[in-house]
Amino acid sequence: MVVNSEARNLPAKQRGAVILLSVVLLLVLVIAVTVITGRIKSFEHKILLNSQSYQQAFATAEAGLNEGLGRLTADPDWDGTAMNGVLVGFGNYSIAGVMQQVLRDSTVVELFNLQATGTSLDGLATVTLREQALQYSVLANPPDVPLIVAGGLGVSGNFEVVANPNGGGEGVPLSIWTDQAVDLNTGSGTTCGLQEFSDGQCSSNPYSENGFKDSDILDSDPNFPTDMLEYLFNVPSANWENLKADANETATDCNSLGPASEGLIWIDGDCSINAGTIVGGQNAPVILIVTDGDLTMNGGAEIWGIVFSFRKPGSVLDFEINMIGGARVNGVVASNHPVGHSGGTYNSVYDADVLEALEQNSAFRRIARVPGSWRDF
Amino acid sequence: MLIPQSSVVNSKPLSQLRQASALSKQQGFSLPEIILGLGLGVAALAAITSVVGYGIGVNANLIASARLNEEVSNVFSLMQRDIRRAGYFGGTIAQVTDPDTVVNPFAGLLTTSAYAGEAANSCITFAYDLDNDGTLDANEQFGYRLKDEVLEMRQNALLCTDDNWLALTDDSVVEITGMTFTVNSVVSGGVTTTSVDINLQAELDANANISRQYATTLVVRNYGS
Repeated sequence: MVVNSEARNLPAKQRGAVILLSVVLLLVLVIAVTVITGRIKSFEHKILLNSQSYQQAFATAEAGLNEGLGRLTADPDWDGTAMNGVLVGFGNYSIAGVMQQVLRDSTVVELFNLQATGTSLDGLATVTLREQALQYSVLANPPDVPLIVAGGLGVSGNFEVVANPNGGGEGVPLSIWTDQAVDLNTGSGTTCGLQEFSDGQCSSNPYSENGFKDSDILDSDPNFPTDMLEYLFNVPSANWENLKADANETATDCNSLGPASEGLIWIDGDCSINAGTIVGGQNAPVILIVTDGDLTMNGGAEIWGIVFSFRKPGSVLDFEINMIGGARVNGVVASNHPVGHSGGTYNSVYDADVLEALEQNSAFRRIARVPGSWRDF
Repeated sequence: MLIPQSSVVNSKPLSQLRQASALSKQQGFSLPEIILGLGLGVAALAAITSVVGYGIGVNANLIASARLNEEVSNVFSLMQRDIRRAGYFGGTIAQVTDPDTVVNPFAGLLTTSAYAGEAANSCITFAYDLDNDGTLDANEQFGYRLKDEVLEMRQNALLCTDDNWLALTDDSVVEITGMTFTVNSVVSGGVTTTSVDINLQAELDANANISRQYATTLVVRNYGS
């Protein structure tokens, strides 16, 4: 009976129950909806974070790959030992390379399989990138003739050339290669073998001399390359900037050259080598490219390696090579323009060791990405 | 035995007495009181309900935009990663050995066109060596396109103009309102660099006010002949 009486009292005491109940219900509903939205949003946030981690890992892997290529460029003897690095704010990477020798025609080229792994800052994402890089020699075609001239040798020039004993095949000496006729009746020059040259008997025991032209002078050759720069360095003349960009050293004169010089040296303008200066060495030869300028070597100066006198496309000026007082090049002298129109002397001694060093020295090795080898899967 | 009447009258149940006293306390509400009370209650409830409804509406919008974000950004990054691989060739060693004979069959296949009736350059096709065997197979020819507001992925080496591509987005949720691919080639120092601009616009089917635009430029790593 007591309970009954209290139930009858309820309406009098709790007048706002309907509103309170409704508000509480609505509040619960809002909270529930917000919690669900929050979960969905936090899920979205996780997706966002994951994709950010992926981007970080990808960027660090790319950085690693580029460091590997940079290392190979700077140090062609790098054996591919793993290197680790940190990309501040992004993550860390490791890069390793495996060198593979690939047979190409008669030569062996070195192919680097680079593998870079990048990890994001939070360590959740990892990206592995692979790419191949090819090591090649800046000298694409080691020439086997000591004097190569496009456009012909003028009759007012003078030369003493020591032939490559096997330039035209086993036991067939070659000393001069040109696309024009060499006139030895009017012009003067001597070619001889290395032994005769060493004995100081080049002029007394020559292959060819004034009035007599032997088969060691290969002139009027229809197979002479139309583009010398492309023939020697695999860079078309029109793209000479690419080769310049590949040079170890660029300068506007030859004053700084000496025995310590190495690699591909690019000179814009005239090049004058002082008397008695030796440039390069038998085991560390140079490739000296003189563009749009005269090359003058004074008494006793010597260059080990290849000298290439390059006239840029579009230029019509004449440039000359002049080696005074016994100055000489031990290796190869080449020119993509006629020489010998205003005097000039060229003394070139073919040296097989120098040519071999040119092919093998790391100073001449360059790195190129192999197109089609990049992958991230 | 007879019971005296007086005693019957005086013996009313206790509960009846109490009821009488309670009724005397509860005099009830007058009509204006009830109208005012009800009005206030309804007004308060309506206000709270509208706030709650607004909150739920905001939440619904958030969920809808999250849905759009997830659906489109995932497809977008998928396309990005895929297109970046265009031209990969597993036979590069053979190519280095004999460049005259071995040609990369995956190179030069990056092209844009469109399905009939769609905007120009809304379809891109390319290929890469997924199984690393150096041969161009049918399942290694990839592509993405826009068709009827749906983003589709190429399968079975179908052409841009063919039907039966695989839909990647659900047109009952998301409408892809525009997509264009632009392939740029820059030659610098004898080296060709190919990049692809991707522009993608999408909106929610249920609410056209919720829309997203994605744009990026990526370098195709294997296009550097």
